[in-house]
Amino acid sequence: MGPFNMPWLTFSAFIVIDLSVVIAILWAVCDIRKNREGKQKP
Amino acid sequence: MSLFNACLVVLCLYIAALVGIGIWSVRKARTADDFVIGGRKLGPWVTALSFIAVYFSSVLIIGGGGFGYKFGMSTVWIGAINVLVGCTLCWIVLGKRIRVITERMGVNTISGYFVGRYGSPEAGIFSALVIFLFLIIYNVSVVKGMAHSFEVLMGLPYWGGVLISGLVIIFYVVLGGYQAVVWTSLMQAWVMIFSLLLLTFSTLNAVGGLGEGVRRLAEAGPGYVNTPGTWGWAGLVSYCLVVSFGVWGMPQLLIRFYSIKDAKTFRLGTVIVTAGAAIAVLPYLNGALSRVLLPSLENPDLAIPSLSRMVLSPWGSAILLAGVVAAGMSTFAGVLIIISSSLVKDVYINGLKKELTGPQEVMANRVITAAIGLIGLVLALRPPALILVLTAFSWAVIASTNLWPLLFGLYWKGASRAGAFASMLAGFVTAIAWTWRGNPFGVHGFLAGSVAGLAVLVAVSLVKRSAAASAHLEKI
Repeated sequence: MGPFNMPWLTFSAFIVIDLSVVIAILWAVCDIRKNREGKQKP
Repeated sequence: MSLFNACLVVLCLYIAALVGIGIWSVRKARTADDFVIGGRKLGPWVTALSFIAVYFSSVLIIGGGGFGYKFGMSTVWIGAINVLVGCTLCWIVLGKRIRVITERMGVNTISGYFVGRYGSPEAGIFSALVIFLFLIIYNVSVVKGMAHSFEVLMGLPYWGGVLISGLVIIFYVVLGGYQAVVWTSLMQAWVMIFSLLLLTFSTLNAVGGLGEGVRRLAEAGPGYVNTPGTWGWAGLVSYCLVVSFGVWGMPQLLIRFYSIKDAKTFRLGTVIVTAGAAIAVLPYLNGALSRVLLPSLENPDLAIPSLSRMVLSPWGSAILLAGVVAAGMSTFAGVLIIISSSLVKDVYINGLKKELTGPQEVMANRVITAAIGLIGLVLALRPPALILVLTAFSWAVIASTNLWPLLFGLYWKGASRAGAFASMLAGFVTAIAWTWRGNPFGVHGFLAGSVAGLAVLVAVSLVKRSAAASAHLEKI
């Protein structure tokens, strides 16, 4: 049994939402770095 | 104060704000680009929140609550997949590329993308006609949802709900075009977020907290807290895909990517849209928990309205009604502007080769917007039987038609003009035939249509390559 008396499989839906926010932030950071590297190239 | 009076006060303030935004945005809609895509200068907050407001219509709040009531906690997965696939991945995979390529091609409509990318006027016109026909039908279902909310929460007659919500939307879209749509959507998204959070906190308080609520729900039946629970894997997974992956082919949402200020704006926009879309889970959660408080509802669609009456004050219920209406209005308005731009730009100007000056194009968009909006209202007042049948088709047909030619056009140079048009036809015909046959094997029409569209696009593109397209593709 997972948190809040939910089965883990049901609770995982909330983890997927948190994971989505992490993916969005990581993508944004990668995009910034890619852009910087692109600008530094001669 | 009675519920009716509280609703009246909140709705009057809300509608006055919408009308105010409509009047304010008139001056911002001077050119056709301004009217149709806001001049490509919108920031991350307004773009992301208007995406959420248009994505999640009143159907999500009322219907999602009904699903939660009927099938239990497993339905929170629908909200979670909406966030991951319908928002985060949609923005990452499609957003930036659509923004960059459509600016290079100088197009401002979804159908215009097909003409610009594939050099295929036939694909552009076909897509515009599908959008025109099936988005009107989709809008009828949205207006119906709003009118029923007025009926249940305020006791207004159905026709009153149709006219109040519909005429206000037509007013501000005709005046301000896309600018009015996105700025009103921004406000509507906040109203939706606030009203759903208010309902959720009140529901959790009433059931004794999330853990206690889930425990009591499990007593009603373990299927209400397990995944896939009473729904089963086939039903849950296919519904998640339809309402999440289907978004990737829906023009009223994709147009947000055209209008964003620049490619860099997508970074913050993607984070905002992901965090904001988390509200998608709340109607399902509230619907599931409402079974603890209202164990014997005959109609699951009444779960959210009944729950709000039970756990919220009249003011709280009034705010929730505003949230439901906001969800419907933002979707209707977003769809309206897409239909009018498709007709004016893709069918009249590009398809029939008619010339319009800038001011004439803006005026034509205003006239067509008003006409299409009124057609939608008239149809919603007394929906013909055929329209009611077709509302089940609209989402599946539009998404199946547009999805693969759009996605492959961004990522695969080998996607050819013939392949794109054949894919559109295959997706369109299969989605209609499949839904008409009553979704054989329990598979939704969108899934069948998109599989057919994918197979045909790849096969035809490999067989019938377009040699002349290489230089054009390098250019864009």
